[in-house]
Amino acid sequence: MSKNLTKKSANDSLPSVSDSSLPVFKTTLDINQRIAQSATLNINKTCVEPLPLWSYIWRVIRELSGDDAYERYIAQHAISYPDITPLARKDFFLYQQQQKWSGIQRCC
Amino acid sequence: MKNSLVAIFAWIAVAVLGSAALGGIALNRGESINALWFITAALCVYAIAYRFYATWIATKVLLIDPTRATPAERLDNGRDYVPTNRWIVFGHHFAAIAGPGPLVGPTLAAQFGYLPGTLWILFGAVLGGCVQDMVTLFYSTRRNGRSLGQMARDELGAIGGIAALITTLFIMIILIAVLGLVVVNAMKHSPWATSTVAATIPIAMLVGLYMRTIRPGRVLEGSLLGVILLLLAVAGGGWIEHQPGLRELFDYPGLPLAWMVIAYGFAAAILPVWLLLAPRDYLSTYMKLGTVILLMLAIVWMQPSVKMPALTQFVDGTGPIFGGKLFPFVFITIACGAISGFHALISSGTTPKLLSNERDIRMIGFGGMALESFVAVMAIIAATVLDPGVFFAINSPAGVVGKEAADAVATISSWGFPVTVEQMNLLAQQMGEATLFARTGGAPSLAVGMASIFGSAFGQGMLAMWYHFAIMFEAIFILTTLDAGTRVGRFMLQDMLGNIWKPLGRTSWYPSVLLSSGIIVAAWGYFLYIGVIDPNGGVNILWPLFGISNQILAAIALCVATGILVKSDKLKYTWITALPLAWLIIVTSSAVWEKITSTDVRIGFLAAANDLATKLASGVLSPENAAIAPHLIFNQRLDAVLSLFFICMLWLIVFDMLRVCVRYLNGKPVPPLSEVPHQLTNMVKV
Repeated sequence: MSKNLTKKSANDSLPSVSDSSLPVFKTTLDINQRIAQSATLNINKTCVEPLPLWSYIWRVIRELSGDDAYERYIAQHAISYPDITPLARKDFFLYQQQQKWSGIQRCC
Repeated sequence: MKNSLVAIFAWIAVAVLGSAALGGIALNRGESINALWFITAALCVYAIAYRFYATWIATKVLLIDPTRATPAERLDNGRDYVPTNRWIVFGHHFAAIAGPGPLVGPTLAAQFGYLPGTLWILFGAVLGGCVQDMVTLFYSTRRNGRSLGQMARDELGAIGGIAALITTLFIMIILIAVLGLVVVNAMKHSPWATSTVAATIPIAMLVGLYMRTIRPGRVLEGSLLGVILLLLAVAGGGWIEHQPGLRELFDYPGLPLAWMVIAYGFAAAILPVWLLLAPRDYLSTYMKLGTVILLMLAIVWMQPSVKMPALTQFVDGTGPIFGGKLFPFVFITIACGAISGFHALISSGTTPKLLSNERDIRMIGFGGMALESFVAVMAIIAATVLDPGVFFAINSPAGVVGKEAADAVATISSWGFPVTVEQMNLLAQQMGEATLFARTGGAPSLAVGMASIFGSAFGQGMLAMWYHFAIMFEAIFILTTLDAGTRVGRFMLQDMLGNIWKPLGRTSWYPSVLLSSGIIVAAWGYFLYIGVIDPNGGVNILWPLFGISNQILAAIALCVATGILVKSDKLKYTWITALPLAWLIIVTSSAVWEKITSTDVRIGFLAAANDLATKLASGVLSPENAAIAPHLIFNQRLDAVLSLFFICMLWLIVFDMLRVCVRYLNGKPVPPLSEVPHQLTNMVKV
């Protein structure tokens, strides 16, 4: 394990997930399809039946924390790129964290 | 018609209530005042500013256009550009901008009394900070989410871009050093605090491993596990405190703790993010939100009395926590919470890439900062509900009031803030600490304030637990800022070094990672080291330097915004950014002027250096003070150079902005507006 850790730290731009393995989907969806499909974007819109309050809150918590990020990625991927195999959950998670912490994310 | 009448009366009622609360706070003299008035005044000021000023800026000045497609819609790639619900964006934005700054600054500024800090937090925020955040967010959104540095380069020219970049790097270094100092002062000779803070590291790693290997990506599960472990760590620290043999393992003076923080910072910068930084950030975000909400509920429920006077005699510049008159130092000390340049870095960059509609800019930019300002108001309440004597005993460094407890209480009581050794001992015992004297830095006094508010709301029996919970809560997100800041500093440095020699710019090349991380850690580690060995507490030097650099970054952001306003033919509205900009120029320039030229050794860097040099030469210093004196002398001179450098950067960019504006108004060529052309949104319900 420790060997694995040092190797990781030696190259923290994630060798296992290269940029090409995560397709940049210039999404073919327009914003309305996107809203209909997104967990929280559609809450106040008409396209789905109204959710009970607790389930809305739960969705907001999951999306805020990033807990449902993989599900959202898969859903989006299935529509934009049906022929390409999506990333595994673990690879996606690692990729996403690397992406997030490459810029200024926290302030004083 | 009927509805609008109701609305008019409701807003008049808010205005009257707000003025009454503000008037009560401002005019109250000589007796304690209920903290609820602060909350009321703050909420009314934010509500009115948001409803009227922010709306006016959005509709009349910026011309926010809900029919215009945002970058998130146009460039949607499911990765960094993602149209997102506005409440989610608000959550991310607030979590990013709210750090330890709004808690520490107001606590230190409470030495002037409660009034100056409170007024600056409220009006600085709605006229300065909120406007800066909102305008920067808007302009970055119109430019595909470009960063502040890129916007400065595009709109003003290369000089602006370089100034923004260098200032950002320096402010990061000073910020990390001063935050490190706050943590060190909170852990000094406190096995409970030290062991709890130490435990947060393996806990974060455990959560990181859980979210990576055991249950990949299950953020909520991992975080819940982490929060439970953190609470257990607070309780476990209390157990360690009472175990002879074990407690000594965590009992350190300042200097070894500083070395540990430095070593930790280096390790954190080179470890992969999933192992330490990312999981700890989840934990600190939950802790932060939870504690802020809990504190607000406790204040509303308990309605504690503010015991600090409205103004103290220290407005004359003789304050024990930091030297300097009310003007300009209260405006320097409270940066985050009123106006913070760092926010401009968050508002340009990540947040604009998530907006699904321009309409949300008012709520996220203006509203997010108003909420942060509210956190600062609660920090000032937590500091001022303490007996002033106790507040000064905790925060005054030994170099000012004396090393012995008896000397310290005698000095503080002679200022008119009675306090006794017994009182301080009892308090320390209640909080589970050996002593609370000279715990400069703001964290311990804030923790005592929070513990007494929580204790009165939820039971006195747990005071020590609440105190260490508050310390852990501050330490955990200070350490997150420390990790994240070191990493960002490393990326920026690698970016610059890459111009000199290409391989150094590769963020994945290990030697370059080690070198650049080492340089950044050495830079802040140096200031932290000096801060710890300085008998005057270090905060006296570092915090003003941090405040100055943060305000200068804000001034740079406002320069960019003012330049864009002029170039967009909105000359008559430029005052919305030009007024706060002018104020910041006055404040930072006079602060730097005083820090360099003042003959008072507690204010002027050079005066302090010369004074110490004379003492060293004449041999009146004790051997241990004589040993560190050369370091302190060098540091004071370095700080003078550094603040001069900051202010030169500011004036450079101000003149650059004025040059561009004058050229534009005279019809001469200037860099064109880099706004992306209008594209109609496809959103059905606009």
